[in-house]
Amino acid sequence: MEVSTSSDVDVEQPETAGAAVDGAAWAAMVGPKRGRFSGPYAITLMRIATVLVILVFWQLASGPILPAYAVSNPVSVAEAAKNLLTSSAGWSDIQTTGIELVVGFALGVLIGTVLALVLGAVPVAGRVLEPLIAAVNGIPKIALAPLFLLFFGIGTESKIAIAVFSASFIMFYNLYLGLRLVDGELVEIVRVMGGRWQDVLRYVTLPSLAPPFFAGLKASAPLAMLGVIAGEFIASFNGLGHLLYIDSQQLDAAGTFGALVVLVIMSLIINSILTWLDNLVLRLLGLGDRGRAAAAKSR
Amino acid sequence: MQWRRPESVGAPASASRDARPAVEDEALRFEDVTFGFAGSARPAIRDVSFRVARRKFVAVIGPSGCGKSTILNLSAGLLSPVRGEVYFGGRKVEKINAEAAYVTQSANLLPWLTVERNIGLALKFRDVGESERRERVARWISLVGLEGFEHHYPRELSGGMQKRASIARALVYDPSIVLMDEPFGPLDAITRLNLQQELLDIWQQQSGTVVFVTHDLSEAICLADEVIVMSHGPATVRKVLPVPIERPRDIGAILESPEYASIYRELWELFHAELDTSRKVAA
Ligand SMILES: Nc1ncnc2c1ncn2[C@@H]1O[C@H](COP(=O)(O)OP(=O)(O)OP(=O)(O)O)[C@@H](O)[C@H]1O
Ligand SMILES: [Mg+2]
Repeated sequence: MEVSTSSDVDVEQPETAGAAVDGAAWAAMVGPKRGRFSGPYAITLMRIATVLVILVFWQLASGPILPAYAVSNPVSVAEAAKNLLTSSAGWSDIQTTGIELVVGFALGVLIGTVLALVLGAVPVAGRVLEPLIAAVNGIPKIALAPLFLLFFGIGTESKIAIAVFSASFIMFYNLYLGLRLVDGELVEIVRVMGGRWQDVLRYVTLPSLAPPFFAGLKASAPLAMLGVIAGEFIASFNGLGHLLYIDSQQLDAAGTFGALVVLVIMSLIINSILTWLDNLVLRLLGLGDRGRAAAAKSR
Repeated sequence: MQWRRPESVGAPASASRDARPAVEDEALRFEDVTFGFAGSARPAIRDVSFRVARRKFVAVIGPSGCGKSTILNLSAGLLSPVRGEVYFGGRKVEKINAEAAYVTQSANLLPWLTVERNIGLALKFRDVGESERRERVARWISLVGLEGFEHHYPRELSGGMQKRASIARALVYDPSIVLMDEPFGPLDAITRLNLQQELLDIWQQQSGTVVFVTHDLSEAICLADEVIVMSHGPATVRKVLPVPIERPRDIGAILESPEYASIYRELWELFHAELDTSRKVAA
């Protein structure tokens, strides 16, 4: 039983917070269990070791076992990546792709979000447009790339357009379906408590949409990148996709892998920014794991 | 029965019935209310009429699925009648009734707000100042025995604690009527008894109007001034039974009193007859 305000019986009860157990000892008891090989450092070390093993195998096998012209080797790849990151030509490619990706992704997220909220708020519009949106979404986005090149030329704009197109559908569907999962009883209770429509938005709709929104961000970022790189493959002056294509045409395996390494680094950076944002917002909403920890701290 | 309804909207519906107390001390009135969900073959409630006086605690009991929650939703203005009218404080309920507080069958706390902010939300909507808000929230947190849990999130509370938080959230803004839908339904017997006594104590201080839906006869008798017994679905009012047990009440003492036993027997017979017919109808 928890603390009861109405019982007359005077039974001595231990404090709810568990005063008998000292705080640090308690934290150690309920904290994450750590086996010998599962601490955070051990896991990191094992990851690094795995990558090292692969790299060493790659270096040794390139030539004797695997054709060097196709797979190159880690040392040459590292050199190529370093070249890319230090030369001004390399930076201009990175910059082009980076701008296309960030602008396209941001616009795609914005358009998808606004569309979902509008169609969610105006049910008639939703019923009219939903089948149309589904039909357009059925087209593989890459198949539209030639069309966008025709519309926007072979510069940055066409790549942005492809990225916008790729990202916006995922955002739209995540939020549009997310809106249906908003708990109607919570909406009603807020209305009965005297909440106006903006209070419903602030206290029920937006917090309910946070998880599908961030899931959408994480799912659509790689698609925006795919769109940008594919657009650059098809026709472009510069960018990492352009570089990848040219290097492979010239049988420069080290250069191709070098560009891929830079792409991986870019996507890791984007992904960690999104994960950080996700955790931050969920924590502010008290929904994440850290919401628990924050609540415990403020006790 | 439709012929009994006055044709002109302006005329007071109660004119034809005498011995009706003045509208000033009336909290809630159902006037031949029929309601059905769209697409459903039969109405959920049929020709329901009853009246709840101000500052009374009224329990509504009836078989499962007979339409008790529907009656509360109509009172809160979340549904509107197909036929008949719902009056609140003499005025027709036409939109969401923000003078009411609703304790729903499940706790329905906002999962992203702490206990304290959940309870203070309605005060915020009413633009109550920060310091007064803190004060009132703190008072209610201690009234329902949730001190020390102000900064916890709902999912960090037990079911009974969530229930208490949702009761505090409903009562904190001094609503003129509180609608409660089986608030203690899914709780264990001991927590339930505790909360019933707490509610009695709180209500005896506060004494607003309460409409309390339950399927527990004993709970109805212990808490209420009047018990409205509904028929099986689609519900009509079978009987309104007064509970002449004086206040302040103590549940332990009530359960052993002879009045309790006789009211319980009467309710049981009514309820049993209802269950019998509902079984026959179902068969
Ligand atoms: N959203 C809905 N759509 C269609 N029918 C509904 C809906 N909600 C309830 N009903 C029907 O209306 C009738 C009354 O439902 P209600 O929820 O008011 O019953 P209740 O008396 O509260 O039951 P319980 O004691 O089990 O909570 C039931 O027959 C149910 O099937
Ligand atoms: Mg119900």
